[in-house]
Amino acid sequence: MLGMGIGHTASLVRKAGEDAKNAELRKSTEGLGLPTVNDPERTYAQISLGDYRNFVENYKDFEQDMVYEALTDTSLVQRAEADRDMAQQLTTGAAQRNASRLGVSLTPAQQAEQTRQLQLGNTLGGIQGVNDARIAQLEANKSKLSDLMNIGRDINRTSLNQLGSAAADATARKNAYQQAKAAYKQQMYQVGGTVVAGGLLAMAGLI
Amino acid sequence: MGGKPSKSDYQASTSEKTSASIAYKEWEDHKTTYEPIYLAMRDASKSTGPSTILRRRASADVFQAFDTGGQGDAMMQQADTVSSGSDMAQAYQGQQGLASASALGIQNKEQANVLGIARGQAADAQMGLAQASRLATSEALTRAKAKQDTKMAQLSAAGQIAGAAIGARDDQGKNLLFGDTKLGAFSNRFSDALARQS
Repeated sequence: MLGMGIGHTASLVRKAGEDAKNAELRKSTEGLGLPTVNDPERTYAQISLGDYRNFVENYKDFEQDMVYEALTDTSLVQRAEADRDMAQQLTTGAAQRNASRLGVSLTPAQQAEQTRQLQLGNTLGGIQGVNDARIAQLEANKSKLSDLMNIGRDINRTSLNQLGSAAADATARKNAYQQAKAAYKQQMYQVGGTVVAGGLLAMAGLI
Repeated sequence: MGGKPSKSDYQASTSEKTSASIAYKEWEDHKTTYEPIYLAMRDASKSTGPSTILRRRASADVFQAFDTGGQGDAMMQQADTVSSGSDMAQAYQGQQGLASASALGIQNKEQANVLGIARGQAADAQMGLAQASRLATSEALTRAKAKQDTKMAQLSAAGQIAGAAIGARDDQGKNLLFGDTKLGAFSNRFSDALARQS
């Protein structure tokens, strides 16, 4: 009895100390605007689901567009072709402005040669520009695809880990059910055996 | 003496609740502060802003190089040369091609960064849900086992009570249920046999 009283007193003293520490902690967090989390497990699940929903709503289409572009983008080649068409008129205009500004006057033969040189330069420049653009486009697309594959590999790994976890949980539940059934059967056999043995012994009057 | 377990003994401590509150607040702050930035980055990565800037600069560089030359004699020489326009055309297309390729590389990297961040968050969410489901499974299994253990204990207790009731006797050893009959004697022997085996 005395031991129980001392134990009870010690427990009360310990509880009082913990209450004091908790009150101090609560006081120190006042004014911080911390939300109350009554069910951390549910809150955790809700936050995780919310994050995934946010990804699907805001980034899924963006990702699909990226994959599509990595496989089909030809913007650089189209841009090079447009530049080739633009270069002719830009450089012709620039040459004329220069000549007019400095009062340079070319002979008809020089003008014809200048026009021929401009066309030749533009054509050569256009061919080189478009070919360079094709190579650059291929490199850009491959680089983009490589980045996407790195991201995709991480997705694959995470998904497999998650599936493995779900499979392990299912196995644990199945095993626990099998064990519970076996334990119940064992208990029933034990009870049945005890009753039968008791009855036999009683009937034989061997006690 | 021990008593029925109290639910209050298994409540979360103040420090656990504080830790959970801080974690939730931090997550909320992160969402409020950084999510708009991620969305803005996503939208910016789809725009052609870098391409426009780089191409205009490349164009200005070409015309500056050919039109001014830095020296009056060089300008005169260019204006007087029939091939200057041809050289400019090739330089213009080459520079525009380089500018476009650089801009596309920048844009692709930006998009990959945004997607990496978004997918990282989604992966964290997936792992969070996996962990939550593991916790729920563990809790469900523990509850199921506790229920099963309680049922088994109840069955065992019921058997013991039944055995004791069958074999209950008075001071003279007479069975209380069935009296001084053959059934009463059998019940006494049966109860004793059960008691010896348990």
